[in-house]
Amino acid sequence: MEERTHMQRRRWRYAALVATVSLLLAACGGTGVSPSGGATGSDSPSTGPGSSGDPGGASGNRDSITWVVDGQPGKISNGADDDPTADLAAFIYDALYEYNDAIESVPNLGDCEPDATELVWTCTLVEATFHNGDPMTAEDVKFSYDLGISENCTYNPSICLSGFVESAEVLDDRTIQFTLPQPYSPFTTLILPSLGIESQAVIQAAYDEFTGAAASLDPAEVRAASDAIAEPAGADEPDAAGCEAALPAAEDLLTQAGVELPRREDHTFDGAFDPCSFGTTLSTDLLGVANSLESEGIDAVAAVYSLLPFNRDPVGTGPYQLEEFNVGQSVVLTAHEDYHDGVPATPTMNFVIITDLVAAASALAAGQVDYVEEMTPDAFEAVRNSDSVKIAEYPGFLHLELQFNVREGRVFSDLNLRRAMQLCIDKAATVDAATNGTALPTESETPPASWAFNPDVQGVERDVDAGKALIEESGWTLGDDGIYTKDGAQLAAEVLVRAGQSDRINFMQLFAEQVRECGVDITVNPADFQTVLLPALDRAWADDGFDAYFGGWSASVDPDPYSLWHCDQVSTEERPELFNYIGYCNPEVDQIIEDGLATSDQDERRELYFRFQEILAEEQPYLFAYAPLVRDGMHSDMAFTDGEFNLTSPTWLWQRHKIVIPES
Amino acid sequence: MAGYMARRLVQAVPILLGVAVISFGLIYLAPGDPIDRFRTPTIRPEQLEGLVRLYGLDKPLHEQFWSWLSTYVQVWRTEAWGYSFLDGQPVLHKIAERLPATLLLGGTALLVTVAVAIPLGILAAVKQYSWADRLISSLATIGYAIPSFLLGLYLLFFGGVVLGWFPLFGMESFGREGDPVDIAWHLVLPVSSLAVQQIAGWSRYVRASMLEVLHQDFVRTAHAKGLTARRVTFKHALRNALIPIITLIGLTIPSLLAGAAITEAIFSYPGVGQMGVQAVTNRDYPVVLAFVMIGGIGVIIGNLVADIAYAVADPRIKLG
Amino acid sequence: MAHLDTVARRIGELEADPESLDRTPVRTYWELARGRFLRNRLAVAGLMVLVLMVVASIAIPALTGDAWRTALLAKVNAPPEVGTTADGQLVFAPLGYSDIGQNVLARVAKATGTSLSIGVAAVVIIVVLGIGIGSVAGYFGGWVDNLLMRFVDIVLSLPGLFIILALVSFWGGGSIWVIIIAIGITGWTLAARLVRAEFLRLREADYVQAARALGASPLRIIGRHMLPPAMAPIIVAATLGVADSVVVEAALSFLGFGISQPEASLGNMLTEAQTYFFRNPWLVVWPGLVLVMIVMSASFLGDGVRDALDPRQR
Repeated sequence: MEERTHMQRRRWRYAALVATVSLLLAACGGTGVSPSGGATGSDSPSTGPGSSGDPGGASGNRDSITWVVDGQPGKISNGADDDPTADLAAFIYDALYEYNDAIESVPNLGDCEPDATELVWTCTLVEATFHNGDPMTAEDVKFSYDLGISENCTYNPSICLSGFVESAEVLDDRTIQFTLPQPYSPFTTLILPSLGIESQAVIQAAYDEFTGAAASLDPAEVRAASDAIAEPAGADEPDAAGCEAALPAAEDLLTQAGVELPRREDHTFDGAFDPCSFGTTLSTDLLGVANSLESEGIDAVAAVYSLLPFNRDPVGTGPYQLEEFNVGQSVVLTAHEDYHDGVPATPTMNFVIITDLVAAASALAAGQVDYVEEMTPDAFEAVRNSDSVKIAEYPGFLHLELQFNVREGRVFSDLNLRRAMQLCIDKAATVDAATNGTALPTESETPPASWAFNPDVQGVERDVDAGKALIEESGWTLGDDGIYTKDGAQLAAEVLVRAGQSDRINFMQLFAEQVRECGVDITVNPADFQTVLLPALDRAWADDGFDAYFGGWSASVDPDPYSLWHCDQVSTEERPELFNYIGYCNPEVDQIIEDGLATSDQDERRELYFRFQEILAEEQPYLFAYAPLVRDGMHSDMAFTDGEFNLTSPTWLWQRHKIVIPES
Repeated sequence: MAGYMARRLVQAVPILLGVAVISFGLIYLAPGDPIDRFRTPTIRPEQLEGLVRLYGLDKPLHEQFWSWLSTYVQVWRTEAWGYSFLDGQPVLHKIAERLPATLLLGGTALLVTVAVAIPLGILAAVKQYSWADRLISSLATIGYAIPSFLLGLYLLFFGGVVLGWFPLFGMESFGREGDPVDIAWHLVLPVSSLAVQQIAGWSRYVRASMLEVLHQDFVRTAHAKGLTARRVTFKHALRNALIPIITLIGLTIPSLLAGAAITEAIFSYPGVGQMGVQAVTNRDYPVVLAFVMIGGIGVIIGNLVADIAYAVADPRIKLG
Repeated sequence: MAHLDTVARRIGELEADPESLDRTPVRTYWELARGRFLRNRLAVAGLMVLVLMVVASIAIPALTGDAWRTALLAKVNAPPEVGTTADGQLVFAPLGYSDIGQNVLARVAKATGTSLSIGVAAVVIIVVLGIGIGSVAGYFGGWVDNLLMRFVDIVLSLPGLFIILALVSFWGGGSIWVIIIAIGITGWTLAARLVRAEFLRLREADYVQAARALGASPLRIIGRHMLPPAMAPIIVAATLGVADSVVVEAALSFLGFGISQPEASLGNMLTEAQTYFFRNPWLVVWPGLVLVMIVMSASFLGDGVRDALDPRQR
């Protein structure tokens, strides 16, 4: 879902604030933000066309572009777990595949073909060079994947592959072979485009440095030191004195191993340093070291991957390499001239940190920066009328819908009723009014730009009579007050909505009035998300479970609908946390889901998912409402060297080596 | 005089203490407790218990209060006021960052108020019942009736969105930090929205105070002695009429600080007030607490200054 | 004791010459006050506007039923219309329709009612607290007075609006009562001071001394003898307090802390209006206008009441 963990937010927000303040202070001090070249728009130094340092020969283009990230990037590696770092990583690292602007996973560093069983994938690699000049070989690819397959994987959890990929084998310098334990279509759509290829030599060197330093360490001693902290920290009454006493030994060992110690400030609460909290982090790091010492080969490296210092100086095969990393201010990337797909067109890419989106948008309008992503409505106002800014506007991955509880006995278990609801509203007009034109009406959960999107699934025109006919078909009769009744009960239901979200509440209010004309009495109940809604969703299985909930999900890049729609994902009393809390269970859909996972042939999957969307449209377990539009702002002349961006796609930003802004 | 000041300072202490008690109570009673943010799925119950002990949450209330207070007064230590739940920054740092902006806003509003309201009020008093007086009084009545947040909203709309003459947010433009002209341009709308209501109130007060003095005996005596009207006005009457103004300044300071919170929120002005409002939204309790304390301290200082200035200006006051 | 002689003398004079009895009609304090009030045209206008608003805020929702809340897709951002529809239905929407098709006049009326009731309820709390604390301080004087006034100083030092924000946000959950209580417990200080000032003055009065000497309980003295004459400043403070509380509630709702959708308040109507400004610019005008009118009328009314009840205080 949408929210990220509190801890992560806190950590890089803190850094981000330091960053922003430092940024402002630095600017005040007259040193200026000084990204190179023409990033300040009209203030650019008067270099003529064919400006110096423009190797690609695409004369007439600016030699740098300034991008905005809204937080302090962390270590740029496969362990990255926040947006700013991921944004940077996309420039620095290439993966075997990449997403094009149709949200399709297409070959980049390699081209992979499955065998008949779809269990063995053979990939042919292109000729590519790392930033340090070393050629990329299949060994590097194997190494990068092995670190993810290892049980000690410390990558971002979404690319820890244990259980999904069994092994990676080198066939020759340019060929690598993956073996999967079972067919898994997201291998090509989620894994291949996401795992960045790193240099075995670089990581190995860092690891060797580590082992060199840690060689003298006795893993038993390390574990003992780790336990020495874990014990007082984990006792019924954490023993601060005990923790404090165990710290020096732990810090010593880690320093010996060349591992950067965590910051004491991160473990100081209200003026008091907490030795046990600090110690717990040390203890975990020590365990990583011990694991590494006791493991062999790749598992040893994997265990300690996130502790190795190379992350500050990443070496990848991507179009840009790290030039400067000014903590809190900016990051400067320069073109990797031996990039496998040609020399990058723009020599320098600058990243500045601006946490306030409205300020960033204003800077964009003023020509100070060239790109701001995911602008909020307020930020959008700042650039709306600017001629120097163009907007990529697309329905994001978030989609909102009226989710019916379709379990037996609930009022909306009746298909006729759900279909009637669809017929009773003018969806487009309602969405437009409720969201002030900032969202797209939807008929399915798949983004329109996706390859799996079924364009033939259409909505219906508002037809009150048809709706009423359906309701009456189910045995309801119209009462004197204009509301249907059956067996003494009124056709009434309560819809839960998240309080404070005025577009959702607006939508439901308009919805309720329109379906009233169809004889249905809907009560809209805005409620607090944490204290009311989440518990209600957890109790969907109960007799007093909710009737309907107006909420949303963030769709994944891969269209596999398993966790929301498969029968064995239906939430129960024992497992209330499952996502299929509406209780939808359709064997035909289950088969589609399973088939879709088992094949990686995109055309085959597309047909399957087309059928899936048709079924959902017929059965309306979700009455899809809208997808809020996402807006990225950029310099109006920014484009590829060979064409325009596809500004209606969520993945319009790709082929970073071809992005230029012509000199105006 | 020194004795008076000392006495007033001493009197301020229990008030400050009372503010501290109420602030502490407010946060203590707020839903959730300080260790909520540590309740991640991975934390062990024993660690939570340790944190409870670390925070002294298991100690009796008054002990918690005193230990909190004794740390709080040590403002020379950065960690004295705790760390923000939102971004982990020391609260004292956050306040120090933003306080100048708020002082700039409030101070400018105060200056504008003084500079506009006093002449208007004097004019209205001196030319009592003339068309100038009636105009000023009517404008004051209307101005006083418009709540400052409403005025701020309308100014933002018409000055910023519709006409586009003024910036929509912030204190400085990107790339022009520190430029006084740019800052002044950003201040126009928020200062106006704060100042208009103050000016309206003040000018009526100045007028009334001035009138009262003008009708007093010593003024008539001065007239009788043959001093020109102008001299009378400015030399004698004004000085006496201004004495209550000083108290007015003292009383205005707290409402500027507090009213600034909403104005700052409307204009996205990077001051202490905006930080406070965000902190309430985000349940950033250490910052909320700090804001209440700052507000309290500000008021107490304002009153102290007003009292002392009053005593200095009017030798008739018995400092008993 | 001097006036007993005067009385005795006067009785003697009347016995001697009954015709000398002065028969000019005696007007009571209240009659005099009412006369002064009615001559103040602004105050009367203020009162009438406020009464009109109260009536409208009750009548219009009563007459239009759910129109303030009913979201009609067909009427989204529709212009004003007054008249009858084809099938004889009465349509009365002189202010047009909102961003989700609600009758703006009905909604503004409902919002005014909500805001005014919150204001009045909060003022009740203010008056009760103010009288309670002020009277005790003023009556007993001495250390009691000192202590209570220190307490007033403390409350005055707190940033009131912010505290209200915090209270509503932490405990509110959209409840109207929390808003009322929050505004009430932060706003009583002025009332308390006024009451105290009056009481300090009154406790020296003869009849009060007499009552004490006779052994009447403090409660009786306060309630029966001292409170009625002290009401004048309280009434003024209450009138102005209603306007103030309404503004505070509007600010709260505007920022998103107080009354939230789909309920109506002058504040949250302004928030909606702000979002939909480009589609329906007039939406920002009506709630603001009502707010200004409330404040202005209450202000005139308050001034008028004060001048009427105590012409000395000019």
